[in-house]
Amino acid sequence: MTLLEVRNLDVGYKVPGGSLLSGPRVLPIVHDVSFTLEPGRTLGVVGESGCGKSTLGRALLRLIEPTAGQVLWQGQDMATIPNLRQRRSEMQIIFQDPVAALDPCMTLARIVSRPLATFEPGLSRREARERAVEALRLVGLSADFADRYPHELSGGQAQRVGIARALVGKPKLIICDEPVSALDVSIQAQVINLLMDLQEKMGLALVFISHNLAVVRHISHDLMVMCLGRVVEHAPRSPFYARPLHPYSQALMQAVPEPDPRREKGRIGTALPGELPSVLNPPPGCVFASRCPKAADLCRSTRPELREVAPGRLAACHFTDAP
Amino acid sequence: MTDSLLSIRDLTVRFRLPQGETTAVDRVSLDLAPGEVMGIVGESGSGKSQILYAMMGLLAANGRAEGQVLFQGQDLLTLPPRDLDRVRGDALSMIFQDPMTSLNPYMRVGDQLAEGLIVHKGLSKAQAGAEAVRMLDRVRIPDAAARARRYPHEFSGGMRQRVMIAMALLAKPKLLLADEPTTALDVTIQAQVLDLMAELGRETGTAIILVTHDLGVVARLCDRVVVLYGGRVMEEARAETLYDAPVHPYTRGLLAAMPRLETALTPRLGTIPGTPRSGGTVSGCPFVDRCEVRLPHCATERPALRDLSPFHRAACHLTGAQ
Repeated sequence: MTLLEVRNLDVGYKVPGGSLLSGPRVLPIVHDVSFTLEPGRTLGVVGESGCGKSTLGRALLRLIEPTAGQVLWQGQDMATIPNLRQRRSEMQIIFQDPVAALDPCMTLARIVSRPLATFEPGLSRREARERAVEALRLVGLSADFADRYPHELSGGQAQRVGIARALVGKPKLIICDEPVSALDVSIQAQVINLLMDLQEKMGLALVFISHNLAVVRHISHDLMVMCLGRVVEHAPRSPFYARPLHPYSQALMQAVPEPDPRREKGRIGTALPGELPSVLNPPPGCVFASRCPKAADLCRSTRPELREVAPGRLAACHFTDAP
Repeated sequence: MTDSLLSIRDLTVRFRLPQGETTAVDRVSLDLAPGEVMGIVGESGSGKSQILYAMMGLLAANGRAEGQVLFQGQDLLTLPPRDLDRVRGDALSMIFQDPMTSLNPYMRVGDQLAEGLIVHKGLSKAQAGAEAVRMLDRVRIPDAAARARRYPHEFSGGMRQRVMIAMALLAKPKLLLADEPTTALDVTIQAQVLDLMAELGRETGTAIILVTHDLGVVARLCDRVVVLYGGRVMEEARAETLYDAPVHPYTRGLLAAMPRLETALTPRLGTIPGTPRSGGTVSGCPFVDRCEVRLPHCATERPALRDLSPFHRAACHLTGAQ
């Protein structure tokens, strides 16, 4: 059964109105996002700052109320799901800044077992602690970490604790919001491998949010590229990396620096000029038109719909054809 | 080396802490030729930024530097503050990771740029202002003349970093120190900033030392790469050599851990066990407790930095044995 189905999701933030007397208005951030996620699969969500990827991640768990559209959790509408607070044990989230995500005054055992007070209130303190120790072990931290405090941890260890806290309620889905961006390269690889191991072992589904296409490639089965709140490309991993279809995906790919000097020296001077437009003032046409090397008048006036350009491959570009 | 612009000899940086003294940089020696672009790569705690801070006289109050930093024949570590001020911002300048906190929020961007020229080159306010606008235009700030009258908060992150680059290169320095200049930026903006550094560096003949944790960024910009761990140089080579034929287990581990776009997918990324060490004094190799090919004496004997070929050095007992 499909674990998560998202239908035409819009998300926005309430901001003060234009004048003192006018009421608040909604600043739209995420527009018309749809996808499905099966158990044991990973969807990589990629885009630059301000593209709405983190807002989307939070809206999937209803940590932010969507303004339109639907999120179906195992077929049930998240907006009306009964006992959502308890059901959240099935859907967890980990964050970019692993240290800030942990209460500095609590021991790791308390941090990790805290969700159980909500999800399984009948549990005794001892049982809860045992579950926490078990979760810590799953992420590669020995039992003697249980009584330590967050300040004693390195960034990588802190992220492992964040993962343990997400695991303690036996989730089916974890939203990973840039979980390795703040970590050293050698630690980044450890955490990605850990998430892949846990997925294999527990059949977890992951939504892996990142700005780095190289990082996402290793862990994702499917890719979704977002630009200014809209999905511009959605495809399975292999064909996507073999040849991204949207010019924005191509630009992102070209911009990732790789550890290969010969290739990289050839990329000097290929950066696209300009910056993405502001969400406050989105362009009427294609979100990427102002920077796209292929943009025509049509792109500046009419927004391209996300359409199937090849079997299983969606792209929102007037000029993209099947690969 | 007679033709070197910068010659660092046995640079050691120590910090006094409540629990005693700790060594952040441990006897590092480096040479840089005019116009050369060198990358210093390391994880957190490797001491990579402290090398730059020591050169600029910007170490925290509890830190002190020993050794020699010869820049154009002068030892920066023993230079009186007034003489150091004449070098900094003129022949030697620096850009930082966070462009917002390095710009003065109360001062118009154009005035901040002009200040250095007035102080160091004795230009008039009008001349310096015109020069500032010209430089903003060079770093592709749209509508530079109008933008020069704006304040830093009115610029995006990418534009601020370009302003920093403009400021650093205005006085046509001989050496630019760049401390993680693109880490806070999106990849597409990072690509623009790297392009700009490569282009302007070439144009002005400015040598660059780029400090970063990203082996990809180094590959794009640098001629030569130094890999730092626990305050020591582990390996140093021309970029092509280092990426094609790394010899130090740490360099190899770092490269294996880098996610890539085009190589065949492996079931898991390569990893280095454990966590990066930060500071502290060790008698042997600082990498020993994370090294998977260590020898018994690695924990006790410090491996010397040995020449493997004229442009390739590594500090590992294993490479010495080969």
